[in-house]
Amino acid sequence: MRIPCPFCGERDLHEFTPRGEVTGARPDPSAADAEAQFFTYVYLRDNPAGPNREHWYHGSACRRWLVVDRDTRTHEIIAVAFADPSIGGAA
Amino acid sequence: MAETWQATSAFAGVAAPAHLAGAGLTATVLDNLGLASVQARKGAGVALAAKVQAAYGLDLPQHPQRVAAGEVAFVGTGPGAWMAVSEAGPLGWADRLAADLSGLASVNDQSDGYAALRLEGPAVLDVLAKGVFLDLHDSVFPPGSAAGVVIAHIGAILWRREAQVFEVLVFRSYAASFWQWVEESAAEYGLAVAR
Amino acid sequence: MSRLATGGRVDRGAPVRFTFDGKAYTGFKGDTLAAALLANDVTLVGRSFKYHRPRGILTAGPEEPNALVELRTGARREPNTRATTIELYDGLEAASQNHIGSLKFDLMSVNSLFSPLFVGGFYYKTFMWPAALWEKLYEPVIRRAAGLGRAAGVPDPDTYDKAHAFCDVLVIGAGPAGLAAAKAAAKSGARVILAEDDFELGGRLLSERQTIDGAPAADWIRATEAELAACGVRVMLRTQIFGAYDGGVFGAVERVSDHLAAPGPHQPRQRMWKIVAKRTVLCAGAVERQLVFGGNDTPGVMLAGAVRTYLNRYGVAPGKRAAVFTAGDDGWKTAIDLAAAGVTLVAVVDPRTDVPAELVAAAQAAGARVMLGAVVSDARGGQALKRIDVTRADGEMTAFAVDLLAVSGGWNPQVALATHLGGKPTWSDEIHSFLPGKPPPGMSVAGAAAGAFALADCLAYGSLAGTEAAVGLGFKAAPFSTLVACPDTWASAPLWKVKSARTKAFVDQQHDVTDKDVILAAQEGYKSVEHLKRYTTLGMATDQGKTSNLNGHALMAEITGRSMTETGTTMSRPPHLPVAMGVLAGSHRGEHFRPMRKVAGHQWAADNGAVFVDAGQWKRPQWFNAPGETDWLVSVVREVKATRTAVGVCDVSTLGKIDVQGPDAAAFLDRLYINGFAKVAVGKCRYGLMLREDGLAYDDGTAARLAEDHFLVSTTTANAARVMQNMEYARQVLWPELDVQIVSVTEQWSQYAVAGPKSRELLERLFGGAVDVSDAALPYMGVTEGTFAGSPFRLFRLSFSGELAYELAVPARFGDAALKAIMAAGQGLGVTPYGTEALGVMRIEKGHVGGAELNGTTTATDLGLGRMQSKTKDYIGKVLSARPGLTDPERPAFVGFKPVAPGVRLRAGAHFVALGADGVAANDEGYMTSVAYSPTLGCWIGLGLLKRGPARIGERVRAYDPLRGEDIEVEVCAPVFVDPEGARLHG
Repeated sequence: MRIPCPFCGERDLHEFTPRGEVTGARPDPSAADAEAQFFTYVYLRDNPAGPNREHWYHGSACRRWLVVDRDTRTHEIIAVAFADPSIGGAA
Repeated sequence: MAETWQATSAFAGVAAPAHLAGAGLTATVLDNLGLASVQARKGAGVALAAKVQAAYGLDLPQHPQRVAAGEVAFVGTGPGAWMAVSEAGPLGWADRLAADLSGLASVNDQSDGYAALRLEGPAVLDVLAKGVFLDLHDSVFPPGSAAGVVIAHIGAILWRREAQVFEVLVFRSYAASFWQWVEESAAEYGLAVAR
Repeated sequence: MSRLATGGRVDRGAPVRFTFDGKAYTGFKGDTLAAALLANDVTLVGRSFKYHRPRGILTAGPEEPNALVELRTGARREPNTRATTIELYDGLEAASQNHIGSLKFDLMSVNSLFSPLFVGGFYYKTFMWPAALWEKLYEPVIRRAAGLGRAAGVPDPDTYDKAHAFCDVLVIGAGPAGLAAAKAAAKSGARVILAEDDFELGGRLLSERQTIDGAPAADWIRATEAELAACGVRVMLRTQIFGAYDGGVFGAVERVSDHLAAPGPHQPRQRMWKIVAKRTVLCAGAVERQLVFGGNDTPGVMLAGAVRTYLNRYGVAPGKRAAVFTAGDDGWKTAIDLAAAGVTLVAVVDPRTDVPAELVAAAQAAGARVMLGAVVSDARGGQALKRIDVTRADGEMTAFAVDLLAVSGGWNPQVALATHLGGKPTWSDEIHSFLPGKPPPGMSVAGAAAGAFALADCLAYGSLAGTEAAVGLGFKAAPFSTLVACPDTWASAPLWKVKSARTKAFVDQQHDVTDKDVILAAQEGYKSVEHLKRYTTLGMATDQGKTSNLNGHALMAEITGRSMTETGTTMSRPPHLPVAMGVLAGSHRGEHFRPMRKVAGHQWAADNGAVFVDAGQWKRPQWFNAPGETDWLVSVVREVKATRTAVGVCDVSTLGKIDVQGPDAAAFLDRLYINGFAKVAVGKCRYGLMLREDGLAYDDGTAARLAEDHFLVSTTTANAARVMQNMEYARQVLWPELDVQIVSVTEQWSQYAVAGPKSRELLERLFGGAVDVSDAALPYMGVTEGTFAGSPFRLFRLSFSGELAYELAVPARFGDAALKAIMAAGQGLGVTPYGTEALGVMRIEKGHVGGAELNGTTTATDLGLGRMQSKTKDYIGKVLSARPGLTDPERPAFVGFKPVAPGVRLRAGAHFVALGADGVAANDEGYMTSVAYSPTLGCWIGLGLLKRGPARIGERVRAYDPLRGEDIEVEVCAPVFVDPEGARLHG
């Protein structure tokens, strides 16, 4: 599998570390139902057969966390972006 | 005051100077590179680029590239991250950068964190192809290009200076293992070692 | 001698000597071993896998099921090499395999008499016999009786290499289609790699007497080769593409030195390539099918296309009196070529009746008896073909005396590489075989691999596919002219099995699977082709059933009354052809299995008796052998005592060091650690614990505040990379609004722990007053920076041992010098280097948690660190650490243990049960995590997790270890065994 890193270009799978499905934002710890929200955040995943949004870490090169849209059936990489929304433009 | 401590090369006891006639690859141990990691502060990218231009006379690369002016080069290692290289040596390099870029970037001395080699010669692309899973063809990776790569399971920062001249950094503790890869990979083409 | 007087591509001026089964022969440069054996009239080359039947040479390529030999001798001996692909070199030594006694008189051929025992499902049924006998009796006997060659049994003396290549267009196979495709793509401007398994370009063209644009095909090959070179095409000969992977990645093996007696100096034997291609044109050609009739494995029965290869490429006649048995027009070419080469053509047998008249006329003109609507029912002769029995539709039988029977069941496109990523081949009623179906993204298939067998089609579709691949990448199509090829006819009829066969008819010759095995599998319910494969082992041999699978699957379709589309074919997975294990490993063997990391003080440690242990990739001194010491515990006890009474030095450079800078550095650490860092003063360190978001602990360490906006975080050696990754996640994904930058500085600094009551005195001597190391200047948990002896340094007042202790960090280039200076300064103070074992003993004595306690199942409270958890701030793991399951007071928690009977050894992993309770899971109260012999206390001590442990100090429980048969009464105690007040740390 080849993943096109937005900084480094297309790279082989072995340079990346997967973290799994992208979950929603980290819940507010002061919410009344914080424990239930965190339970969902930590444990519950959709695990679709098809397009899936995942976090991958390009640890052996630019050290950026990436959001990778990947089809779990075909390993087709549909889109890749930096996870950090503050990266973009001229640094 | 005690005497001055003796510095030890990352390749001490590993890479002895040698020369084989018709060497396809010449490896030069670069013990005296000043290296510092530079990371832009939040939102300081534009100001940092201006400061680097003013202080060092070069355009801070925004892509995996090496841009040099005189003895100083900045190598893009990630978005908002660079390895600043000084061929004048490690002494005071990180301190100077930290002072120049104060408030605009976080700076760390890495001169001892990496072992550095220059690899050059007619067989350099054949040798690198044995470790680097990256297209180094002239049309894709021309001189001035840089990349974070994995060579024989060892993380490395690689850049190309000329058509047949590359320089590579690996974490210092891997020097012996990395050297073994260089020796094995270059053996069929012949290897000369310089310091 | 069966070498023809003229013809072929071998170099008749370059004789090559070789031996087979010890007998000397001569061939020519350009021969394969199979060609040279046939030239020397050697037709019996091996024995079969199960029945030890005599076997000859069936094919002329990598699909060979029978002619497997042991190549070379000694450490380089390799079993199961295919004689049909081995390039002849001077001094080649090969031997037949799978026989006890001589090849001609194999004692194990009696297996054939017991063949009812060896039918399909044999292995499964054998397992039903008394299981106790399997290991001792059946398996050794079966392994000896049914086997494929012998391994060398000694280490491989050769080296293997790995390399990577990139291209716009990868063309797989250099037959007419591949050559045309590579040329078209390259002329359009694409970077092209052309990979060919053979040692020559040309593919089937090398085996045929065909013309292109009116000239011999060889002329076109030569001209094309020159054009490819001019366009910069990278031609990789002897390179087998064995697998297709996601993203246009292909695995390939280049046989760099296999055609030589031994690799040249510094030359690898084979090189494994990973090739990344934006587009691929698969031109892998086709493989001819065997026909299933009685005795079809008799030496002298050969595929018709292979016969043409031996005649035309190698100038060898594989027989003197030949017949052809073909179910298609293509086999008739063999008849014509045999006659042209001067071989006596006895008969041509074809089950069809509508054979083109010009083929029939040509065969008859060559003197052959043409038998249409007829089949060969049996080939007879045992070790060498003597006779064939031909049966006509009306049942009339005619026998012919022949020594060669060329057979053709039609051709199967080589579709494997188009299906490795899950594509399903589709059945074609036109060619009676499977076509590639939908190939993976970026791949097209051309020529015989796509079912276009005629030469004109191969050339045209090859050019088209090459052009399309280049155009798809944005290149402008270069014009190509249509080549005129000699005409070809390709009609064929399916013939899956000759029903009139009287003797054993083989479907899969390499695994000795007969038509009856297929019938049996169907009867016993194994009707899916995948079940058929596992039950009979059809297609599971090293040839992966290239000449046989389809016959077996078609037979199953016939038996079950299903169409071929319904029946399907078995899933193909890489490797497509056998790959040596050595080339997969490359140079990563023995100590080079993975890279190793060495600290700057490594050489000093090695020179001073260090015994190293792997800590991840790091080499760390485990202990130092002093002169005369032979027992590790003696060394460790000495090191601990010296540290607790004088001063010890330990290299702690491998601990992770992460530099954290930025205006939000303190806020960032506050969110990572359970305890607060915002209030840590500059020049101070604090111990911290990190949780995962699920509330369980995962790493601990200290953070030193070097400036308001600058911290240095330490991690355990094992978790350094993981902590870095998680910190990047927190910085980039969770809280991108924080202005904080992190980078690993682990490798920049060499760091040494100097511990023990005399550590301050040592440092005073080292610094000679240049640095104030007094308690006032540098109190416990303090940090200071400076320059000394021309080197920057950082000095921390940290202690893992529980003694008065410091950690001195210097840039790694000064690591060796600093270590030597520390040791020199300690002369006369009893300074002693210590390793990870002594470090571990002292941390257990001191009750610090380590990797055995931070094991992914423990909470901060479990570890006795619950009070560190901040109530006022948010941090990773805070919310879920408060879950009922993680706050249950019944959870096993961290305490110490001492054996009640002194001198008894404790064991990590022992489970705690109450005195008098049964040692069963229901009574489990926790387990021992760490143990050590404590030199300070003079007995074994342990740390562990015990239900309500802290409330049970003073109680006794049993440390029950059924694995070792131990049951030891222990007393629960506080986990800090040495200096519980911490007096030694301070002062």
